[in-house]
Amino acid sequence: MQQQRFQVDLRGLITLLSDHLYSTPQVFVRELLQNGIDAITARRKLEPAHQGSVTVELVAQDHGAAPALIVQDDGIGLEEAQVHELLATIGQSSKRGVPERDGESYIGQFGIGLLSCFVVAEEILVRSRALSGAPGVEWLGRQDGTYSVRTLSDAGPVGTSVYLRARKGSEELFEPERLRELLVHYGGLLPHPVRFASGGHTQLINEVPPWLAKHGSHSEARAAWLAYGQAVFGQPFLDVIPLRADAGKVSGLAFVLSTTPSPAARRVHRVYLKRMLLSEQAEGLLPDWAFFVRCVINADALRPTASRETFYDDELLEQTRDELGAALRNWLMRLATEDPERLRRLVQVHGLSIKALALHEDEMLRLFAPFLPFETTFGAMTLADYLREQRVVRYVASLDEFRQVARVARAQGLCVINGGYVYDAELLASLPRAYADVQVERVDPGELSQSFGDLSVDEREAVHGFLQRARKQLAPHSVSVDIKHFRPSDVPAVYGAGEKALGGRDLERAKQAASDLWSSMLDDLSGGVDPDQASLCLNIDCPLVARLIELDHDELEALALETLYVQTLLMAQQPLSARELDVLNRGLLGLIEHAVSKRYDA
Amino acid sequence: MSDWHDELESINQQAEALDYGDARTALREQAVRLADHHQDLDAAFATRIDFIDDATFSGHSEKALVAFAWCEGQCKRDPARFDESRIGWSSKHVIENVLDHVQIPRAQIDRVLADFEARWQRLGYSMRVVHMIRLSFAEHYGTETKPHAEAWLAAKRDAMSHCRACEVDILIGHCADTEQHERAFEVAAPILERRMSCAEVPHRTYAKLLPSALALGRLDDAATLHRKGYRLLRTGNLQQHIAEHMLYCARIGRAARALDIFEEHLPRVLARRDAGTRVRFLLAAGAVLRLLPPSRKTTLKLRLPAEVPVACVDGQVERAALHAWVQQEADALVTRFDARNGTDRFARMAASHAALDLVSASSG
Repeated sequence: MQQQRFQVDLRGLITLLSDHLYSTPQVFVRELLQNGIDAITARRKLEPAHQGSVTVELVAQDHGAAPALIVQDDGIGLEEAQVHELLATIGQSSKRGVPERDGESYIGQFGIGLLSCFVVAEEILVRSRALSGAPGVEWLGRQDGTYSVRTLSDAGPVGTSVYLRARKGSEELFEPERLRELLVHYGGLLPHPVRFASGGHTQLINEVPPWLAKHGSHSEARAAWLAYGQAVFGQPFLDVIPLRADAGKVSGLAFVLSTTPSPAARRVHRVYLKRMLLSEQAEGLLPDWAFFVRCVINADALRPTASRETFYDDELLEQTRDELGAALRNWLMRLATEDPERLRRLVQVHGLSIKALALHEDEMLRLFAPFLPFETTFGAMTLADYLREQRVVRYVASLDEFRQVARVARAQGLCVINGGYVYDAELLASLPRAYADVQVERVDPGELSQSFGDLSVDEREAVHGFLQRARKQLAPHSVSVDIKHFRPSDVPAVYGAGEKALGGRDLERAKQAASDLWSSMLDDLSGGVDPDQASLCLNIDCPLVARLIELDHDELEALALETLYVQTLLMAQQPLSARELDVLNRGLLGLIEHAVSKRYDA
Repeated sequence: MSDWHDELESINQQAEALDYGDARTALREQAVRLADHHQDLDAAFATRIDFIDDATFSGHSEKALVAFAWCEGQCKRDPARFDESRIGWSSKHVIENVLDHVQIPRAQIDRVLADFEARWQRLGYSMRVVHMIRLSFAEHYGTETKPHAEAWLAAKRDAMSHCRACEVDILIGHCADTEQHERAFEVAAPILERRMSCAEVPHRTYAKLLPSALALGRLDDAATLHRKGYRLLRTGNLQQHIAEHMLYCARIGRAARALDIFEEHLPRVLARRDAGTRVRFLLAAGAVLRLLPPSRKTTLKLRLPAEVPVACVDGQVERAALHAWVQQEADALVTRFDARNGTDRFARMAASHAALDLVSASSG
């Protein structure tokens, strides 16, 4: 037996690994399983009929000694020369800082896998017998950097066994239940049998991935998949979508969340690489719009990063992402034709995601638009419902605007959609992209009054003088004044301000509050262009307005007009500027004074 | 707590759940109006501070400016109630975007910058941010940048400095601006290796590095920068950086993709109120159209927004007419920016766009 020393600073390397490379010490379980599976894969290349299996045995120690673990595979095995190569790999890893696994030999990977065991074990013993028939070899490595190699004389089975003894502080990872959980966690879907032996019992750890398992019928498969999803993620799902991508050789299941997620939430998935768990936090696998699903996915051909906890963001990953996106889209499209009821339920919960998706993809817009729910002046309805009754899609762009028009539009029999909810206005504006025959019209509340009934010539004669005075009176408020017929007759006036006019009002309020410097900045910003005027349309059918027109009292008329204007703003839930507040105060006081003095006069 | 406070809270929560964008800005705008409607100055102030962030990162810097003016006024009027430190962070956002609005005169901008600097001094913050902003102004004007860059990097970092990822990104821009292309890549290493990131980095970094990658003949790197970068920008609000990706595609001969990008982003660029984004996009679009491969067809299939006054018949647009419009719009803005700035930087930028050629695979 030769006592030797590795040419590496093992302690430094282990610190590096545990601090920087692996997010948790428990990955040693994954690395051990990976070594076993890799060895079996290598052997099966030479002996395709070989089944291969891995056994993990936990040896509890009495009299207070640390527990030990034996991981045994019947894979290709190592020759003595390869053991030295393995050590070279460890040495190289230390020089480069972060070990790269990709594209390296099985032996190289084996070496790096073993390294992670030093995070939890004081010493590692490897016994191996190669398929080639070379004599068996034993390697014993210690954390202090010394190792010994010897040749085995007895003939054992082909394969490799790794013996670990828990390091102080790592015993928790060697408890039977904890270890079993870790084995299932990482290796639950591995392609070769993995058995766990502890306390005289042996159990199988892994199963066929549910999406590859055979099911009697489609509905049986769906039920089984949904149950699997609930078991994996601990929450029930609305639906499940099988996924496939040729790029990256990917397959898996996408589970449709049963509650609305925040679009800004991280979209993380559980991913397997060659059926070994790689990460539960993988991002970037699906297009950004797919935030309504959580996936379990296996990739046979994607490149993991050095830490083996996510995939490299390369062209292959991009192709995979596109293909998985296409799989989701196709499923949704099939649902639209085959099971609209299920799609409707999905839209109810994930309307926001679907709207976000439709906004950027015309095909999706075409597909989903009929199912999307909107608020209208006649209550909630889907776009399909709306289009059954209406030829033109009319909408206002914000909640502010909807508040202005809702009551009056309803009274005129106008069905107007509230585009004030997230994505709705943008979506409605892009409808013609998907439906060439649908006409879309954005209603400017300032122009709503144009659809009201005109006055007769006699009526026009009667109100002419009043209207001129009203326009002059309200000119300082940048509002145009008109008189029309409209319903309901208990509404004396409606205020209409489109997006630009509202922006103008915001600017005006800011200017009144701003210091000189910033007030002149705001003048420059608006570039000397007057903002779009808002409009005030008085209702000649309203008895109050009719009496106001006949008032014949200039002072009172002016007070009433200004107060009516501000009251209309308040009804439309518009914030008031300092000047408007002042008007309201003066108007109210004036009207009260007038009412009071009139009573005493009488 | 009254009903409207609940409503305000709910609108704010909805807004915060969204990515930056029109939807988020609209919600927060609604919140500001609600607070104003109820004349709750404290709520109106706090909501506006959030709104300034949202509007800035959603491509509506003009709205941020309006909200800031209101807040600044409150701080001046009632300093005991609204401490000036509350608008410190917002004032960075506002000053950084002010140059993009070509209608604001240079003298006014100088006053605002002086005001900003005075505030920074009053609040006792490191001058690092001030120098950084002076650097970005000098880059915009096309004047000497070196002293500002040196003063910026020499000043100490503090809690009010930009995040490290943003600072490195700005340094990359400075390297590219001064044609230190190799250095741009060296500086970018921590960002490209994803050791540093923030809400807008590496998104804009990839775009900024594209011209340097082409200048160095690093075509493989350029392809990666485009592949990763365009995906990050595509649905976001950083339209000002789309131009580099569009130009890159045109220059390496991916003309169809360049046209796709033009078609997809033109409506959103034109919808923006800042001329700075518009001029950069249109200059790049001019080069894209000029570099299109020769064709017997005189038309292009494009969907253009209504405000583009170029006839579109059955989805076909006359190539020459579109090019002429793009060029004319770009030229007009170039003239306005140079007139406002009192320099010729935009004319030089236009000339360099006009001189751009296809990159052949053998170059570099």
